[in-house]
Amino acid sequence: MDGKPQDSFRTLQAIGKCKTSPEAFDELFKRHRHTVKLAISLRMSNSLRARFDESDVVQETYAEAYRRFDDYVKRNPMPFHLWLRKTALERLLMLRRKHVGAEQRSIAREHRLPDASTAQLAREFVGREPTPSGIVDAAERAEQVRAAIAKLSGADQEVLLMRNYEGLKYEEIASLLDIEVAAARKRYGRALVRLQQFLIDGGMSGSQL
Amino acid sequence: MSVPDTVHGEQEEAVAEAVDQFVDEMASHARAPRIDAFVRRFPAIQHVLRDVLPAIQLMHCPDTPGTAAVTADTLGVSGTLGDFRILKELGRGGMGVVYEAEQISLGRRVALKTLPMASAINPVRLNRFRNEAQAAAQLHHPNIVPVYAVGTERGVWYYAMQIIDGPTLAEVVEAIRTGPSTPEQHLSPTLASTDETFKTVTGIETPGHIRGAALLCQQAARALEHAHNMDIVHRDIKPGNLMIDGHGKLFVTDFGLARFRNDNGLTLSGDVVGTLAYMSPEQARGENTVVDHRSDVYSLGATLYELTTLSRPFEEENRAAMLSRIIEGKLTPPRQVNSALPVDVETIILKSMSLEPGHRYSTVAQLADDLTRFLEDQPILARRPTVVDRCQRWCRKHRSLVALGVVTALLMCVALSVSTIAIATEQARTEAALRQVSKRETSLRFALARQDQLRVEAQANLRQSEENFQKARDVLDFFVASVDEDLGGHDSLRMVRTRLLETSLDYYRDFSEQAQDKPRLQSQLVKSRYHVARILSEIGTSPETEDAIELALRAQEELTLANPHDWRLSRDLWSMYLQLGSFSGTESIRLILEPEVQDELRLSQDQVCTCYEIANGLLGATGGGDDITRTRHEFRERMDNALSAIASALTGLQDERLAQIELQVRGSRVWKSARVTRELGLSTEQRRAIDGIDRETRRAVWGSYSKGRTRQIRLHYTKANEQILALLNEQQAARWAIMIGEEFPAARRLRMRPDPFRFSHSPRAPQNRTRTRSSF
Repeated sequence: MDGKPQDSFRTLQAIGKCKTSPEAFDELFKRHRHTVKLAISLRMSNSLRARFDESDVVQETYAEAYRRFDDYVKRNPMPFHLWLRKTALERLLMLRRKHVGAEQRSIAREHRLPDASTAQLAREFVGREPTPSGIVDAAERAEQVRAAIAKLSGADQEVLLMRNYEGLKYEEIASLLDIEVAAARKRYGRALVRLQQFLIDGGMSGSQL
Repeated sequence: MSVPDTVHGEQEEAVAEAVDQFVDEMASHARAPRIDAFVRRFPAIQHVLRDVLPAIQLMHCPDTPGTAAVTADTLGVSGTLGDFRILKELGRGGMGVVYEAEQISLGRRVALKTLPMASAINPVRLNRFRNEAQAAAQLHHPNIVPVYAVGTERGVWYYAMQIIDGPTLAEVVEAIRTGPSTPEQHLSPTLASTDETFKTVTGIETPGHIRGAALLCQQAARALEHAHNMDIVHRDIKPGNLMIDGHGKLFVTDFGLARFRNDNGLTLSGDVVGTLAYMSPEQARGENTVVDHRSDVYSLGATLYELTTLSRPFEEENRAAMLSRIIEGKLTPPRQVNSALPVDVETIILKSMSLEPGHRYSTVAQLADDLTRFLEDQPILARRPTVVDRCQRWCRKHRSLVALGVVTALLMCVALSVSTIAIATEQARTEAALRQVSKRETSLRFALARQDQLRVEAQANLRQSEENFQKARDVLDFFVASVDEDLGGHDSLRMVRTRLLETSLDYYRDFSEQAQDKPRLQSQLVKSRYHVARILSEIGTSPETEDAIELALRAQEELTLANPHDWRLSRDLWSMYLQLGSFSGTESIRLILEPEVQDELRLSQDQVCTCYEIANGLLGATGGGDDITRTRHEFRERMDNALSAIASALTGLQDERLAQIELQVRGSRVWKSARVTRELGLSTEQRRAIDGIDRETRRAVWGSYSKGRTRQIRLHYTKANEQILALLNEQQAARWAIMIGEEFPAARRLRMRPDPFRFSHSPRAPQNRTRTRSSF
């Protein structure tokens, strides 16, 4: 399982096409648009949201990626989707520095848990029919989880987001953070253990679920 | 950021690995792995996983729209779906889109409801939905929207039903609410041909409106009755699911869809809160296993509430508040909203919406029957919530404000009653039981002390005093009832019980005095008098007893005569006659309703029913006597009829045994009855001797009673009985042995409780309690 993460064959094909046809980059970007959008929406703070739409940032990412695409192909430091994601987060960080100021250094202070998921959650959680009160509880729990995650350090938050929301593999995380794969796994485990502590502190212990 | 030292290195990796595995399983199974079971596979890090996995689950909720290839929305307006050609969109709700469509093969117009895809994730649930919907499609009833087809096409679930040209009751209510001045504009086209329904509405105060609402709910109830008979529970009865067509005919729609709704529309907050308002407490608590047809009874009651008052039984902004109000049953009484609402309709609503399913109508048919009775101006069968209900509710409502002591005492009482019964049945004579009981006594004293306080407060102002009076009374009633229910029947506890009753006696006497000069408390006065009489006759014969009984009967009689149209009062009066009155024959009617006696006689189910019917008939509405002698006369006549009806319902052997039991139950009083005198051929001397013993006994009993030695009272009676038996000659003794037959074990209990408290706690509430006792 270990080893460098690779681009899929189709992505490589698409990258290859870009050399000959300018429209091909459009196609390539579209394939990874959701990755970019998810990464952004998870990390966009409310204060930034007040000024920009997610799709604004996606647009900027597109422009930036297009500008640096030749350089990427030359160096090929990481798979395309990770590079795109990295570019997106750099854009986001830039915007934040410019508009919100430096007070918010942590990336994921206000990431959201999708609201629509609470009904789903109630069902999964309780293991039977979701019930109105179950859903109310679930919403409360979602809030508690949110609060617990917010208490984590920036690095811990980041690894949780990457694993659980963006679904990145350890190899990918390792290459993004420039660490060993085993270290990535360990870091994730550590974040979980710390999360547990904050969950307990926040009154959300597994025994009551 | 403190991480326990024990959790490090390897353990972190193990946690990461376990969580990864969990996520994998979550992704590959339709249903999330059960955390409990999953965690057990990793004993070493169990505690971490238990806390973390729920959060992980939360983060992994699939929030990916577009997984379903075809959704209802992408159907468009002019598409086809299987056999159906979509004609136009009729509406959208939390459950999906409703189209007007044509069923191509049959060329008929249908309403086609498409169901949201998100719910289709879980195959088990989907299957259950299909079964229910198909069962619902089998329902044929004039008031149920016929379902033509249930199926799936290109991944869209649909539900095809007859198209009803008309509004839902929710729309009707909304129309009346928003435009009260000209409701006819909204309603007349749809209700043109019904005189009874909302057409005549000029305001919710008019009798026409109330009757219209009752009529509509009655139709809905009949429809539900049919469904319930087929074992189908609707689960989502509300005005939005009741439609009226152009003839004022009501249709229940969306059978079998409630489960679908549960997991979906709930995220659409506005809609949900609206739906919640009609949800039964057990549904709100999420106790799906206990949701049965009585849940529909509740929801229909809530619907009737809204139709008659134009406001929902619970109005709350957010779900949590709404749910907790439903669960606590904090209902604004409908008459507070619409003062023109007849008491009977309010009673029907409140009974249907009882918190406990067991207190609601046990079938929706009974609800329909009561609505019919109301519409035909007959008395309804439902009773107002009982004193205990009110008492409990009151205690709940004032938990913080009031009498921590009382509440604690109540809780203690409930808790103790459980243990008391358990102990008493197993080892009735043990010290343990008695110790428990003395605790109970303490709790009673608590309550009584609280009442003293309430009564002191009561001096403050008249209105307040009346309320407090009522509250204090309720608390007392509650205690007497529970003392009674829990301690009755156990020999070793009887004396304790007697002592508790004596204590409450004083309070009832106080109440009687207080109520005497307050006309609004007349019925309270009657009740208190009744309790005094009842408790006295319970404690044993005393010179006071007869007077107290007479006083109680008088009070009830006067109240009944003063309100000749309140049939409940006459019913209560009959009950009192039966329980306290010295009419010959009351004993056998009382006995035949006792479960022990019924068992002893081996009555068939039919016979039991007949007996209850007879007893109920006896208590039926009075013909309306205008003075006391006539009332009593009428009762005596009915008694005679009832007695002969019972005699003919029983077999010869049963009748004989009943007579034997009756003799056993009457204790030493039996010797003075004409029948015994006659049958045994008691000589004048013997009778004189018996009189002497009786006098002696009474004096002894009264002496013991006034000295508080209630324990001795029974001994006096036993002794008297022995003395009298010794007077008999051999022949008489033999005859007597034949007359009373084998010893009936329960006789002593029944004797000591000349009134088995079938009123349980109040003469206004002869119903309720356990089934065997309640039928009267």
